[in-house]
Amino acid sequence: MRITYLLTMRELRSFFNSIMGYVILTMFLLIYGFVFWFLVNAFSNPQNTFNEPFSNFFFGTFYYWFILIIVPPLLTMRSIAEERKSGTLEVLLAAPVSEGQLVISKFLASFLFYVFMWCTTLFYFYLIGGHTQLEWTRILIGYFGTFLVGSVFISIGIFASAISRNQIVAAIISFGMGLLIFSLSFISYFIDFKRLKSILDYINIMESMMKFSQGILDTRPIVYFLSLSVFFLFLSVKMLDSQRWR
Amino acid sequence: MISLKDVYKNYSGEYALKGISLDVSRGQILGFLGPNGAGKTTAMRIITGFIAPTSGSVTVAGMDIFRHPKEIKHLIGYMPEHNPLYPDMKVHEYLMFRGKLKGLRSNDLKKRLSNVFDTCMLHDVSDKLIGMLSKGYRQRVGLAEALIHDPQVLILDEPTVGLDPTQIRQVRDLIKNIGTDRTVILSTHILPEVEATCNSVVIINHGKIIAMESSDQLNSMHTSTSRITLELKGALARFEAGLDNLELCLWNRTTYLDDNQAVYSVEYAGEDDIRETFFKLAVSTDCVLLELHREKASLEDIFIHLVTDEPADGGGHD
Repeated sequence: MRITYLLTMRELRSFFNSIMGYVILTMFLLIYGFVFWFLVNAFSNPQNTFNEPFSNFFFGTFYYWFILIIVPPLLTMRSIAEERKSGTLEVLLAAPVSEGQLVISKFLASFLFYVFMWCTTLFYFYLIGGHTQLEWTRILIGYFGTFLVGSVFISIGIFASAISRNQIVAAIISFGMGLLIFSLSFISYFIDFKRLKSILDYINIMESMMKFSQGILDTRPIVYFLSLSVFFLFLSVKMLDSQRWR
Repeated sequence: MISLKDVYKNYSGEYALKGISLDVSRGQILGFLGPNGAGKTTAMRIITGFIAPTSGSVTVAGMDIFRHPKEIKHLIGYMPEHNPLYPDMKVHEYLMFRGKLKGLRSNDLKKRLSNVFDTCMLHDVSDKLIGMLSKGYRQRVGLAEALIHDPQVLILDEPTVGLDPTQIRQVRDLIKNIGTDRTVILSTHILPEVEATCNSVVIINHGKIIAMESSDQLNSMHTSTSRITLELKGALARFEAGLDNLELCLWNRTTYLDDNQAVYSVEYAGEDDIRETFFKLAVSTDCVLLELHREKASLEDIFIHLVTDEPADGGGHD
């Protein structure tokens, strides 16, 4: 526990010590500031009538998914690949640190940064809170879903970083894998076979996330997202472990 | 303290280590000597548990590396080749972080920190970013890191690479001091380093141990050979025929200065002085002797001799 905590803190600090963290945060805020402005404009236009609340759109735009798929690879690409390339992985594993602790701490650091990044957008809700009735449970469930989906993409990113030596390669792999897993669910729209369809529906990341943004707390996607994250983290640990034997 | 038995390591079809066995006891400073790619780093990585041997057994302080990896990691301080560090951390931050990782707590940590700051003379740079440090300081930070938890075993992969001569001397003195009550293994391909710091030497080449001696033994082994340099002018062919007739030494021509002027280097394994013989040979073959001097073979010659399986040539002499 102590070691995981120490490693996570160091990793988090390196986000804030390097330009990387600030660049990602700034770009995110710019883009999401635009999304917010756009949505507020759309909602305040009397010609538009929306049946759904603001938060549905906040967690459902094109930009939302774009960020969800592009940001985790950027956050995680450095994590293990960089340590391997610079050789610090060797020093790290020469200390009494296990591969599991290393992977978990890398995941936690990226995940916490990601959570922090999204939490800055709570300010937007605070801004409009004075002018309209907000359903805070819905919004918070939306955030919860965002964190869950994020944890899937981040664990994919950690895995990609664990198998490569070059951060760019790691980013490309995790971006590709993330996009594929995300698109896998769309196959169900073209399939009539009932059993397969139900499986594909179950792994439909976008549909599951839409439920969260509607404020529905369903255990099935929670279990799915968590098990997917754990699966990729487990693979990363095994990857790191296997490299000792090659 | 450390014992390797029949250790093999296979990297995708090629053996980096082919059956290494050795024992290192407490208080020993062992030098791993070998050309680049001989398997020094692989052997060290196996001892630290970073990679696993393909076959064979490794024990540190009586514990098997597979059964007690954590306990062993607590015993070992390791500085890999190129001394990788986090450039974005300050020196004291880094050492504190590493100390905590290695299980040191509040008071112990403080004591050990001030101890390694003293031994590695890091007080001046404590607040600087590691990325901004000079090579010498970085090397000292690496050493301090390896020492922070007061390890019983210290493994240093090429600890003096890239340092200037004064820094090299400092690091060597440091290693000697540390080595008095601990076990140190250091790898190098610089021979004087072994002579200066180690009390025993293992020479590795192509993944095999080809010599294992205390450095005194190695010294006595190589003081008996000497190298003689000759510069001659005159009828060289006749002189060379004369050299062949002597049949007591290996010789080769290092440089041709002119059609009738050349430099020779001669290896001679024997205690007696044979310079006189050369002088007489030169006179009898009508050559003019322009230069004649003798030097004792260095450890370097022995090393090259062992590693290349060929007589050392005098190529490095001009």
